[in-house]
Amino acid sequence: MIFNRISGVVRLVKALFMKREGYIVLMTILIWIVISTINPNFARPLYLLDMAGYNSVYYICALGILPLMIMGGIDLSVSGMILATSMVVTMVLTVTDLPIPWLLMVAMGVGVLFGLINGLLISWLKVSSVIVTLATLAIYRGITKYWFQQTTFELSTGFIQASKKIFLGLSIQNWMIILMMLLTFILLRYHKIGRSIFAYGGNKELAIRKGFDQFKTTIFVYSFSGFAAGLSAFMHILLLGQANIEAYSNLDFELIIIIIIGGLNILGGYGTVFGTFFATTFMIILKSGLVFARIPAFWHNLLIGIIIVAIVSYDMLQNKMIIKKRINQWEDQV
Amino acid sequence: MMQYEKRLALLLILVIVIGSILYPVQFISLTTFKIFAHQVPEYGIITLALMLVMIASGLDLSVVASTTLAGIFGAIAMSRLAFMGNLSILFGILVMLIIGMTAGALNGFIVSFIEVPPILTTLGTMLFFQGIALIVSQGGAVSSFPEPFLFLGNGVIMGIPVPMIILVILSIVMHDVLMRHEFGRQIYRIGRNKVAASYSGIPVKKRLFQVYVLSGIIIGIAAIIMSARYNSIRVDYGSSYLINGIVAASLGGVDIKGGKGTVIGVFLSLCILSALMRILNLANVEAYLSDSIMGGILLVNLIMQHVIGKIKSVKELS
Repeated sequence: MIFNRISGVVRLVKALFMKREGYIVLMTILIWIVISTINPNFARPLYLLDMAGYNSVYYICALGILPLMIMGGIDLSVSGMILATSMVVTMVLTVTDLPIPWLLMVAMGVGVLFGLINGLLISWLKVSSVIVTLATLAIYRGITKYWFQQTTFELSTGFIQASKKIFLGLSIQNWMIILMMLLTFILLRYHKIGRSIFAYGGNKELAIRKGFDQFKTTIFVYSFSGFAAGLSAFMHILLLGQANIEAYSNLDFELIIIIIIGGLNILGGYGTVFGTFFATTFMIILKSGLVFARIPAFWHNLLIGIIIVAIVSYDMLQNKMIIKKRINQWEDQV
Repeated sequence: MMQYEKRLALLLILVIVIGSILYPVQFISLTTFKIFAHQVPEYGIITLALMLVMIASGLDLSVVASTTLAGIFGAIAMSRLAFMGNLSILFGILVMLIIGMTAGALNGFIVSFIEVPPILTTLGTMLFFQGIALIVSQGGAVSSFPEPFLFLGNGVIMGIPVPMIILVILSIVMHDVLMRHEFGRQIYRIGRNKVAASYSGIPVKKRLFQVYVLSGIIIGIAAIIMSARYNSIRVDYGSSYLINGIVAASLGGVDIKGGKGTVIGVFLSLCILSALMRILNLANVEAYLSDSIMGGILLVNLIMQHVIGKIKSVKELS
């Protein structure tokens, strides 16, 4: 009886590690334990929740670009969309005093619009998503910088109070992360569009023959990323009480790194909400943990760079091994 | 192939005409040329390095990071060897070239032999190089080099700044390698279709590796000019050159999918961008907006190419 249970646990752990995102769960727990032993303040669960809330932008945006990266695209314009959306939101605030739910709708709508532009351009011009989103990033960022240089902006107190409301022990930011996770999970797992995204990520030719609509899927994934950016812009304004232009200068690259650490197959067609969540947590713990562990900030980039190159290389080598094995098996059969 | 370059030349003439109509006195002057000759070489050379990689269907996000990395290592070598007098300059230059080459070789190894997609590889190595540069320089600037070294960045020979001369020589050499050499032709073939190239007997992996090493050497040259021009080098120098470089390469007809692009096109696009910036500068357009305008130019160019391609295919059908 007991033996059965133990072997069940062992099987579960094994199953976890057979999956791509298994190691990131282990790494997250490991780095959390290591940093907690160096600095006990880090071990408090409440601190983790606070940290997650404060970094909600990372969670939301990472989940936002997950479908797009499963499909094999890349979106470098997320930070630009966040900036531009927060610009529009602050513009709206200076004109009228909208209640907060309406403002949230405005932010999400504007974000979707920006994402839609990306998606339309990419599917119409049929060029690499890197180039298109790089261009839109430059456009959004330049305009926003210009705008904020002209005007300064202060939030009303009601707005700031709203950001500190706590519901069932979790802050608004934490709830947003959970809702976004649920939304992404349902879309990828149970909605038709999710099937289409995975199909295009796995094999484009087959997906077209199966009758999945390429135009619709492309438009959807980029709009979804824009939606996440709009939501994050709102969260960002809630958190800081102002729109900071320099806040997310490196966000786009970091998001890609998060998604890759989270077990995305770089050849497309695989990626999970679960893995992305843990990868984001890992990155956040790594970033603030290095400070907690009193490792100089100079080492952050180096470590993150090494980690990403190592993981991606390992991934590729493993892929190659699998293909070799299959060829060998096939030859044996013949 | 030269069709696109002709169009670019027309565009350049158009921009110059517009500029001289709007600002007849200031635009057609020695100052414009001087600004051009001072601003373009640095990111022109970085663009050439980028172009080489992009022709072979790659992308190098780490160009700027490796430039500053090479610059910082060379600068430190120079200041450590200061007792050797002017001989230290030689070592400094050598170190910059070698570090640039090593950075390129690392990228090349990961991209060609492990076959990791170039954008992800160079994203990782970008952070890696930045990290090393930060640790080595402790975040500060390394400065004050020997006097003769500065000549490479600020000197003038017969009225033409030295960096410009270096850029022109480099462009000519690269044009020759890409157009007349077997090596160049093979790169284009690899960029167009890797599988076909490997079936036609080209050692694809080896060539790809060589491309990255070569672009690393060019990056070393850019590092020399950058550190000599400012008489100092720091991690965050030239951070806008990455986007500008990709814009310039893309406008110059280099396709990110690989197999397309010429040195002439890139050179023309550098001229166009510089002239445009000069006009905007004369028109007192805010500096912050120049980023947006760069992005706008890139988008408009993509749309134009698409529309022209469509029109052509319709004509061929009828």
